[in-house]
Amino acid sequence: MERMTKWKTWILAGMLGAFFLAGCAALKESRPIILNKEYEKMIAGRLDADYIGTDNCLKSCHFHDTRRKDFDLSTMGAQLSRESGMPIVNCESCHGPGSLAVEGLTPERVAKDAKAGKQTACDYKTLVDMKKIPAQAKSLICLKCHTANATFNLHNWNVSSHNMSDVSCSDCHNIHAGHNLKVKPREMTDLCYNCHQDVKAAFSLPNHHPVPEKKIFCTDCHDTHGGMSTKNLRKDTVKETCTQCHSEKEGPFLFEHADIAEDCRACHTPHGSVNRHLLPVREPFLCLQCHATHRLTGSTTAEQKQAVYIRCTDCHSTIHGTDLPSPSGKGTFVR
Amino acid sequence: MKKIILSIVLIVLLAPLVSAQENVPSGGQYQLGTPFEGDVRLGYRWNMNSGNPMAGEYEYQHSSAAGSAVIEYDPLPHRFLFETYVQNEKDYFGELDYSYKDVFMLNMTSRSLFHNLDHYSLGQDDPSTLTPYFTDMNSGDLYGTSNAMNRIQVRVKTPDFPFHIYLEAKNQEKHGTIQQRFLSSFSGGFNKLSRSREIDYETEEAKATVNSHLGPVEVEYSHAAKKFSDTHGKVMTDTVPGGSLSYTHNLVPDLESAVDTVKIHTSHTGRISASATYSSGDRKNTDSNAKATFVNAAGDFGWIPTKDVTVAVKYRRHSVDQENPDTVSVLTSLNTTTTASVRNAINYQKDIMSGMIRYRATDRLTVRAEIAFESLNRDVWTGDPAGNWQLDDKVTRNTARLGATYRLTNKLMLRGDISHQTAAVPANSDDITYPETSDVARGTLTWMPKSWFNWLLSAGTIREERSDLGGVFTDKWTKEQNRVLSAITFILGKKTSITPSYAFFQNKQNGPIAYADSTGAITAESGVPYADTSHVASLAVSYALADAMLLTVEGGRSWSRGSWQNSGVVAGSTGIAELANLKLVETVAVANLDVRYTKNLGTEFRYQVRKLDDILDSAQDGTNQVVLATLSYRW
Repeated sequence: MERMTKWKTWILAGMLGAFFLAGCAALKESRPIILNKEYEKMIAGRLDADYIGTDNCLKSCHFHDTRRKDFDLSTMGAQLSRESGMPIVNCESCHGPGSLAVEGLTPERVAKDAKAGKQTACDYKTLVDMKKIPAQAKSLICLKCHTANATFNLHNWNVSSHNMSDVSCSDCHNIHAGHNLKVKPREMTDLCYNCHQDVKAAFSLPNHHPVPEKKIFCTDCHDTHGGMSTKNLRKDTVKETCTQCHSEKEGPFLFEHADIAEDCRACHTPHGSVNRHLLPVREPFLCLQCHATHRLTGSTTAEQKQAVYIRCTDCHSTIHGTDLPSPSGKGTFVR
Repeated sequence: MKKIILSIVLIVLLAPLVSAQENVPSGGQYQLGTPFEGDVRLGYRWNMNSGNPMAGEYEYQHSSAAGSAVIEYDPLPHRFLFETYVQNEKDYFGELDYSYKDVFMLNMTSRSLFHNLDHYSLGQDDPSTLTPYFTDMNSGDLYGTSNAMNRIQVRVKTPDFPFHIYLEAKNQEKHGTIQQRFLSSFSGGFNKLSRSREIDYETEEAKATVNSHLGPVEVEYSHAAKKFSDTHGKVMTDTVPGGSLSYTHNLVPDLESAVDTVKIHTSHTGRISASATYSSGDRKNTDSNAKATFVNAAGDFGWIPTKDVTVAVKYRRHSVDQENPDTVSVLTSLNTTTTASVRNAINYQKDIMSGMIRYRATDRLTVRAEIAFESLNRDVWTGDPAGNWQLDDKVTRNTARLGATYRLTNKLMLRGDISHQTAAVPANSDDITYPETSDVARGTLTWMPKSWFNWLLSAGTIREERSDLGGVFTDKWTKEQNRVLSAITFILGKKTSITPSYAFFQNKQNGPIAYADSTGAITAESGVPYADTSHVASLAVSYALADAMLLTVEGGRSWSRGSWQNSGVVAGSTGIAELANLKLVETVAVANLDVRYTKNLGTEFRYQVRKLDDILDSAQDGTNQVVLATLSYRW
């Protein structure tokens, strides 16, 4: 019986393995991934055109394209070639069938134009009009290949604030250039600033995370493709995002500060502040919003009122949480 | 038998993926061009600082050799990218990317930054205390930490099927010296001490993920673990001033956490997509044995009924269940061990449901609407002998948001959002952490009347209010945030662009504060005002001196002011000014000259300066200057 179970396991593994090996092999041979009907309807492309293949596109007019060098070095460029070992992606996979665009263009005419120093123009209006289709439809062109498991950070993209705000993949990713189409970290900040000018201004305040200095990047805290938390945070909660770097404050502690357990923004504003430690309001006023001040000696009204002008964290130095009780036996974060 | 059935089901589900490939024309004859590209820079970086080192807060203040390299090499099917920027031994970034076909991907990053930290002066900041006892045991020390992070991620894919295994390991180290401020004893006033503390934090993380297509859905499972420890001295031991008895304080405990996550996703038709995430984990403090289990769950549904309408529905749930030991023992300043009660930690469950719709009414007008419902339930442990939490046990919040983007003409675009939020809290609540009402309005105008001129004007305001507070805080509090931003870009000819910009930030609050005397009796004062404002002006200039010579200059200055004061204090008392008021001027400037002598050879010169001028406390003033000169070679 036990032997039978083992055989069944091997048979199952073998079947699955064979299926894995056979499954997508065709994509790497001669079949580019193409638009399916659902997407074509969405982007309102020309359905009466035929697919002509990359070679014909390039020979017809893009052969002398000045962008070719960048394109060659991009992942998409590499995927035009079988040598890449990756699924074939050709021009028409994104731009739609090209037969109408190159109608009447011959290699001889292209060569003649090139000799005259000019680039032969194709009838690009018959291709998918990338400038006019909605951002969501533009992204769908990418998403038909970049499923959530192949590109693991796209799990929440469809309902993300960027997608809902008409930001498409190509607004950030240069499809025709770049290794893995990634935005280089040091170029990330300027890219985000293109839209988030208010955040750029906040980072110009005297106290800020070192984003303008290009020592940390927007994507250290935010996943621009969306996520489980608010503000496209990289982690599931605000606290998990902050404690990626500030691990010592993650806890749990025996004595924790009420209500900041999951949201550090109760006392910190992450982009920039006029106050030290990225406090939205300076000490001691920040603390006095929730806590009564206290006086250990002296009891006149003036003394009590003046006693608020202290830096609370001078004494309450374990304000993010502690395992040690205060001498009074309570968790007041003084040791 | 179950496995066989499962395998058949899998094959049936997966088969359409293969058969769905339609007959299409062949491609793949394309031959690649240059597979190699590189840019290497080597040089020296001078760092000069005078006054407060915080002027160069994120600069390691030593001069050293510096350089950078960007190398891309793609001899297919191998693809290789290396990028690094090194300012000094404590300030660098490096990333290496290697791919073999689509079956193996490796990404490694190594980075570090140095953070200079404040050395606060304790001072006589409680002027009414007759015999203050403030001691800085290392008054001349400078503080700062080096923060390094290394990460490696590997993705392995089955050759001809989208089954992936992701492995990720991360290591983070924070070393350096910090200022440890603490209260040393409670007799005779506020006896505060400050001393230097060496820290050696280490965090290690590992994550393993597998995912694949299972017919119309994609399924992913991951397990992650994290461990934190201070390997140098996790607790401080000091003696009572003037005495010989020792006590422990400021313990940094070892922490561990683990989380399992399952994700399911489908976007079978492109028009309808759905995803679900369930994440369950635990955190543990291995010193005190405090434990917390948590669940984060999410569900997304997206629908594009027509090309002009997008609908999104989201659900989020976060819950934390923490378990503490009932008591903790600790060594006191009297050299005895005492046992203290630990109150039950706050457990909570937060559920958020939101719906959004985006409608592209015309080619020029897009409108967005969103509603959200949030429910927060806490266990605040009324009746716990160790004490209650003064937080509301149930809070609900409802939010409505409307937004629109309108392109009036091809040259003028408007974007605006407004939102209104209301919170329902229990009567006589003394938990002030949520406003009862919160209103937000933001607007942006982008005007590009000429190809050489564009103007961005943006403004926003947030108004929050909480009233009918119970407990020690009476009356209401209000909060107001105002923002204005303006940036204009002029492009003069083909060589010059100039962008002056201005930003205004204002935070205003008004609310009660409460005072407790030595007997514990509390009196409250209403309407205490707080405000801070900041004006930031900057100018960016880019000028191409020649085809191979680019000069960029950017400078900015911020003026920050802030004040608050309660009534009845003794005017002019020592120590009050710096905690009641803020007056700070910051100046930043960067100039960069990039020159190409030949196609391959070039130089870069960079100068940056940051100057801090604290109007109230000249001890905080400082200037930091950095000069970088590099020689570059490009392929």
